[in-house]
Amino acid sequence: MNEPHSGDISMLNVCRVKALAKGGAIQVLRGVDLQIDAGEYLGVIGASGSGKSTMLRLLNRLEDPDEGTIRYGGVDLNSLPIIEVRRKIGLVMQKPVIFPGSVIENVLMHDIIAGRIGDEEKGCRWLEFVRLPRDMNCRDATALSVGQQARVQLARTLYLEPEVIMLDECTANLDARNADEILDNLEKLFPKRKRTIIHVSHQRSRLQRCRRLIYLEDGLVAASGAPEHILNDPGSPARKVLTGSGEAAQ
Amino acid sequence: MTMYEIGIVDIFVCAVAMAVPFCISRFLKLGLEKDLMIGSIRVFAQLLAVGYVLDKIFAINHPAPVFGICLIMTFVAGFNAAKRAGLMRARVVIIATGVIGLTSLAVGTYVFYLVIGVKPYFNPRYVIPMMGMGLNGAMNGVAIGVRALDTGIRDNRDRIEASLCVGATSWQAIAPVARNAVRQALIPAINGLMTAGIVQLPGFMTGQITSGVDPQIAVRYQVVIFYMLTGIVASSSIMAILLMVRGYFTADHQFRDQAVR
Repeated sequence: MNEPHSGDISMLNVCRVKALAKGGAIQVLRGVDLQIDAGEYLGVIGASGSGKSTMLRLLNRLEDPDEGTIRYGGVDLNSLPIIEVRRKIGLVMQKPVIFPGSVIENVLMHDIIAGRIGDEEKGCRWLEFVRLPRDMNCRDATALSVGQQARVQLARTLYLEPEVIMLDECTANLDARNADEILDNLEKLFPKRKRTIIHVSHQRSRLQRCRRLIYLEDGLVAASGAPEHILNDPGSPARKVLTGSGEAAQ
Repeated sequence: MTMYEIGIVDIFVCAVAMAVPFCISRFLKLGLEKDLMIGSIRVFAQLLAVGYVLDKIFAINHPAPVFGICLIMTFVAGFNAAKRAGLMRARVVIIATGVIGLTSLAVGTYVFYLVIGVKPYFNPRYVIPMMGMGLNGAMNGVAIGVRALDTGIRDNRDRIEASLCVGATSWQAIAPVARNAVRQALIPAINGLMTAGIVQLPGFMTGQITSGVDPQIAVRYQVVIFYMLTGIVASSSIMAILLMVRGYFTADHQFRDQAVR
């Protein structure tokens, strides 16, 4: 058996139950088994409530599974220092979250929170990486468009230089050109350095880039394989949840 | 100096003033008539009862009833702080009662024995009214602070989680919300300091002056009370907020589901 690489992720029989606001609970994940190799570009698709975001939150340890284990580099995720886990497995949320302050302050948030000044030059480089001009760094981040805020949020996560980056539909707020160029940049940078991209999306054009695509249904991995196989198969349930290409309407 | 006595009939005559808000509520359809009516009766009955109890305590002149009534007032203040904050949970009631009691006791002891030099140490004429003011200030501070913290966490949940995502501890992530909650809790006390004697003549001082005490002495008492109150409000609200924060997060810096549901 091969030794796990330091960036390999494995989820074994992962279950997650969430309490509902009105009382009661719902089982969001029902025993997910998933292996993600270091350097993989994995796409995730599924209907609302299928457990996509929860899966990412478990990997970032914003939540913990109720059953099952998650291993990172062969080590139980719960046994690793949590702050280190969150820095190494970066999560970019669906809705852009911006802090009051300038663009560069938002990018350097990791250091600012810890009381450090932060590396402004490095922050500007990541701004350029997400296709924002560096002279924008002093602008009020709260006054930016949603698309620009989404890119600032991505730069904030990239500033941590994570080993895994998880994009939770964050490209949905970007115009097609910017989204493609940013994903091009990520694709050039991440897999080459054995770093992993996990991209949740409903857009065919985004998912076609992935090396592997998984389809989540009712908290389980219902299908896994090459994107063209899952997206092009007329009988594939994944097609029903695609947007921006007409499949949903068909 | 003549002390004008107010009889029961005089109180009923004064109650006519309550007709003004009653009529306004009726005219503007505010729906406050019932509350005004109950409030008018309650204030009369509650204060009459307190007057009776104080009469007895003054007559007994023993520490047990003095500290007993302070303890009851502390429990009521803690319960009411949680209720006013809209967070009627056992944990909140315990935290509120604990910090209100502890800070009032600490600051009160300092003021009574080191500043004023109250003798005997349980002198009910000083201990009960001044502790009452301290407990009331602490109750308001804790209620406002705890409420602001809870609302702030719910309103800023995305930002707090985004901070956690970039490696912040729960304390670091929540610091802006907690700071704002402390600020909110302290604003009424600070406003009181700023406007004392200009916009309002504080109650304790007014009471002493109308009872014939030299205004110079009454003013000094009032200044001491203001300092005591601000100390109690600040320490109780900060302690309550710090203790409350722990309840929102796990040791792994994750939100507790049930705390933010």
